[in-house]
Amino acid sequence: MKNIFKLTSLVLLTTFLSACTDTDVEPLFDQSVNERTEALKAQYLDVLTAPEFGWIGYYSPNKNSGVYTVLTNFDVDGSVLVHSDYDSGSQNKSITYRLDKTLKIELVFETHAVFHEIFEINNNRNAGEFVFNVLSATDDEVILESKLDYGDDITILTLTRAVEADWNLELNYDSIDNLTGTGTESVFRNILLNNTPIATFHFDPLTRLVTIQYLEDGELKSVSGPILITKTGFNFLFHLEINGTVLTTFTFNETKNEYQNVTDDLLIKYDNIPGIPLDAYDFGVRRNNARFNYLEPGKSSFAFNNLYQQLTGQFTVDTGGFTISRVYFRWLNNGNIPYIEFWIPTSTGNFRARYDLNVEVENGIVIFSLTGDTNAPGFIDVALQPLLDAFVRAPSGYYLKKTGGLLNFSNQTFSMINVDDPTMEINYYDF
Amino acid sequence: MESKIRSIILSMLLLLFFQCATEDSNSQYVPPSTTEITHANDQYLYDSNGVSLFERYGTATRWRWNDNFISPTQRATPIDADFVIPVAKLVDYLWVGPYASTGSNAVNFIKELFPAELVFIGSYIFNDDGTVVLGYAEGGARVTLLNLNSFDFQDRNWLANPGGGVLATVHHEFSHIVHQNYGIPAGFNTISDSYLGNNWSNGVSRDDAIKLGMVRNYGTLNEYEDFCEIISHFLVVDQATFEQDFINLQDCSTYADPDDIINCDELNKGRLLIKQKVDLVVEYFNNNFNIDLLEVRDVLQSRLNNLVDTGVIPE
Repeated sequence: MKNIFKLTSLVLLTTFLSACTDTDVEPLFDQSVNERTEALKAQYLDVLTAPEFGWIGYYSPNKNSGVYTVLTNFDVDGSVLVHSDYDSGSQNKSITYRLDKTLKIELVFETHAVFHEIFEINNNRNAGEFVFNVLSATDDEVILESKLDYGDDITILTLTRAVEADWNLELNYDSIDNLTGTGTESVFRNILLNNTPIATFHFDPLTRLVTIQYLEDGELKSVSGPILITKTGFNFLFHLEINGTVLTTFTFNETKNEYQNVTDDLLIKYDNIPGIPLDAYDFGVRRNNARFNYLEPGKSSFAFNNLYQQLTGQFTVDTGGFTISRVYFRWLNNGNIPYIEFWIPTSTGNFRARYDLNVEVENGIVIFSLTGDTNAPGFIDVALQPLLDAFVRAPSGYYLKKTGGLLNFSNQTFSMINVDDPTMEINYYDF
Repeated sequence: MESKIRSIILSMLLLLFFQCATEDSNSQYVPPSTTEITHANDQYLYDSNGVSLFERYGTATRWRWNDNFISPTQRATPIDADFVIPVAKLVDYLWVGPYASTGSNAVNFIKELFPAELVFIGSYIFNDDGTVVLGYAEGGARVTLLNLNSFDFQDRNWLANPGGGVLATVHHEFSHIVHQNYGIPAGFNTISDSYLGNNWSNGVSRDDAIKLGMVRNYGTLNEYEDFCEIISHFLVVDQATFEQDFINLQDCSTYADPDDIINCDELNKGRLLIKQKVDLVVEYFNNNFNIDLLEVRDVLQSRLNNLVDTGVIPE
């Protein structure tokens, strides 16, 4: 028994001692992890700071967003000049950066600039980024990957060497302004093939997405695609197709205020009528009431919002201080006489000035006429006339158009577009 | 027999402890080097002829973005570098200053409790659940200030809105450090009958809070938030408004509607509770720290008015 213990001890001792030699596994690297990390950071820093005119990249925070041109010029002192075509260059500035390491080597844009501004869209929920993993860095190309993204929408930003001319973004700013419009144009913007409307065109300057609506086999289709703003116009990042017509590249014609693709005989231009029938809202059928959409002012046209401000301001002047707080359509589908109602706050509550209406809807156009019945006292009635002109007295009526949901609510929104003056789009939500 | 087994096990354990030890082990902790000054902001924050927060209180101010500032489910953006020095001046002028100007006891109080670390963040923090974080203190050592990119010395709302203004936030968070070190005044937590816990945000209005004896719905969460909200409101809201909203009793005889009378009465009962709390907190600061909170408030209000008027912090 004693021998068994001795033998066991000897075997174990030999086993442990033999396991302790340093020659079992050859180290894979000559340097420690920290040394290798520092070496890689130094290498990336050399690459980033090398080009005289920095780097140019085309940044899209998520797959539902368009593209922003971004220029960066890194300095060895830890500062980086960042310019972009976002918001006319309002975020162009020098900020600090660092190369850091967590799981991968990462490039951190440390203080606020354009990446952060885009990140902040939608309460920081724009799937943007300002910390990137460095996937590779060579003399001519740096490939960055979002640190925050996951799943099937991971942003890759490829930087290539910029030339001096790239830093002149004035033409890009003009280009965005041209595409956005001044807000005083017709809300109808159509795509024409051989001068025949084939679709409607809408550009969102914030997300740089273009939305196109067209008819296919009699059915209304809607597609969206991101675009890249160029100095002369814009390019679709992914070619959109409308019944066999592919949309690719467009150039701005300043004289005609329209976009052209001469090769394909395509035009994008403002018009006084919709290029295709609108997706008409069932006014007077779907819901009994509608309210002027104060929650989403961007759904009314810029021109109408301006007019509304002007008219309500004038109302206050004309009535010696009263204001308009709300505008409603009431009793649209309950069999009673519909009316439009203006809320006028007073010291004892809201006075609701109502005007009874005749309502006719035909071919997606609603036409109102006043019956003459109102509860508005004389001076209020007089002062409300210009607002009635805007809201219900378009001679040829208003195009009706669905405009989607209301924020996170279940209400639907819709627009009325003045047939005689299509710069005026008034948006409502129903309930 | 047993002793032999024990000796074998002991041998094995010893071998396990010593095996594979090499001289290049990574066991020695190397502290990080001191802050490297590579930017004008660092110069101001760390090496400013003895007047920086770092030189006076040992406070490190973090302004360069670091993911570790927030949790992985939160989203926020860094401060604009141009705002760092003005915000640091603001912290000094309207957080440290009003206390320090009231005497040596308050100076020592600040020296003892001023956080070791300030974090400057540009945006609010948006949580996955849709809630918004206005600022926070961690372990009595770090205070994170948010929404600093809305920086505007002449925007009273940004500065002093009791529901998220930067001064309300810093004084709220500093009050957390106070109670984390010294506790809340004895009896404070029993003045109100109850707190709402996590239901604080469930449609609780300011009037609802007042009726419970709190100055804001967030104060209904628990006694600690109540304590911090009372102090931050007391200091940051101008005295007349504070007293009108939270202290002075309304004349309920002006109402005719029974519901209005009941509402008025409930608000008044809540105001009496708030007054008890304010008195207790003022007494607590007097007795424990020899600090007159009324004087702190007066200095703060005077400086705040001056700042809003001029947009300039005096050198």
